[in-house]
Amino acid sequence: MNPELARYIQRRERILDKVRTILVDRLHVSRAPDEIDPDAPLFGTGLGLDSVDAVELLVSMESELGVKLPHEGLSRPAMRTVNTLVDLALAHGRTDDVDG
Amino acid sequence: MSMDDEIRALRTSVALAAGDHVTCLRIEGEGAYEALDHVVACDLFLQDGQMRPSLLLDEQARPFADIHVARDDESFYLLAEGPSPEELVAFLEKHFPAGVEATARRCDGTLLSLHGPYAWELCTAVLGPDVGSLPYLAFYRADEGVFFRSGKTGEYGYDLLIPTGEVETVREALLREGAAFDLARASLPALDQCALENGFFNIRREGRAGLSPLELGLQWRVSYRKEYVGSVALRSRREAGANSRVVWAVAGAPVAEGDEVFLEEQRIGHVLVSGFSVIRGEWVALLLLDRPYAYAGIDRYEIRRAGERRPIRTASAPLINNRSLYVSPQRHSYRDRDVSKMPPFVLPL
Repeated sequence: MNPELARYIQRRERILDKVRTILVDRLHVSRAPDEIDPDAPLFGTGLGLDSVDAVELLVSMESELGVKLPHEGLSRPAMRTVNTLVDLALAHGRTDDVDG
Repeated sequence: MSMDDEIRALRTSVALAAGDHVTCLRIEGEGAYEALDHVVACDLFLQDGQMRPSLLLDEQARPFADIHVARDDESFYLLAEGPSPEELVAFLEKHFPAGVEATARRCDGTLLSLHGPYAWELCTAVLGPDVGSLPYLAFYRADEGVFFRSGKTGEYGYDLLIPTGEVETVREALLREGAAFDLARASLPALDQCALENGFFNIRREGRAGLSPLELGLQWRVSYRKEYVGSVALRSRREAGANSRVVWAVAGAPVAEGDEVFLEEQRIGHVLVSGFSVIRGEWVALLLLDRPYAYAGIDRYEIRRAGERRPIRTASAPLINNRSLYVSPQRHSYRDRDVSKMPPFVLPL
């Protein structure tokens, strides 16, 4: 595999692991991390989060992954699934805390 | 009306569809909960009036039916896609535990469905505010019918179970009032295309590929804490680990089911489902990729067909920034809509 692609996949997988940890430890999603599929919906009966959890999720994304929303309009599309959160962290999070 | 126009209406106003691809059963009897809990793949933690999506699996943990289960006091509604009504009832009768008192019978009535960012407003106009204001994954039973708030398009969605004798009256009222909403009729292929764009599971397409919830990314719809049809096989597959996983993708050139996906000279998967998205202006697809390559956000893969290579980019679903995310029944109406204030359907990378 091309080294650049391998690095991207490694970084994406690490952020995915961190998001799963946030969901289980901070938001008390009663699932094992490997049960949380990347495209699982966050709200409704996906992983069962609600509007109160959304605030905690954003706070945790900032503290754990350095994610700062560039504008509020991004919050809704970014908080639809686990993978959209990973996309958010890749685009607007720290670049140094998931590399090693 | 073309399918593209049906989809444009569904994504911007309201679309009315027939619900004859959905079977509605009512599960009753003293043992209704116990019987259903033995066959449905999710935990049945439901309050009265709530519903949730799940699956019925076969013994090999492959989807048999795509379901919503709804609790109505001590009874349940089961809205199912996939098998015929007869196959569904036979499946339940075969797998309900012996000695448990429960019956599964087809609901009297016809299903109509409404989808779109202003579907709530048309529902309110025709069926009243109790229906239009239903929260997501709730239902409301009245003399006029049973009204489910669900949908698989990413927009406000309502499944309306109307007594057969009343269905033409309700349909005509929806069409009459719907004229002010530029209502369109939507076909099943249009609903399926919208489901693909929004990352909803489709039992008629990828659901027939012999995959389990592990490869399909549907573990959120199943429980590992109870026994049900297919649970033993599912746990076994989980312990073995999935070798592949579905990933969504977009492409500028046509993509077809069965096209092979390559990274340089290595075959890494194939296309399960594809369709042209008139909203995105490009092709969208669901790929089944080998596990080490099954990630969103990669633009190095190619599809090959007839010796030709075409680039394809994996992406996170939903692939549409739905207007229903931004339309609020408290603040908006179709009549006063201002499209210029709506975010784009496709957000920049």
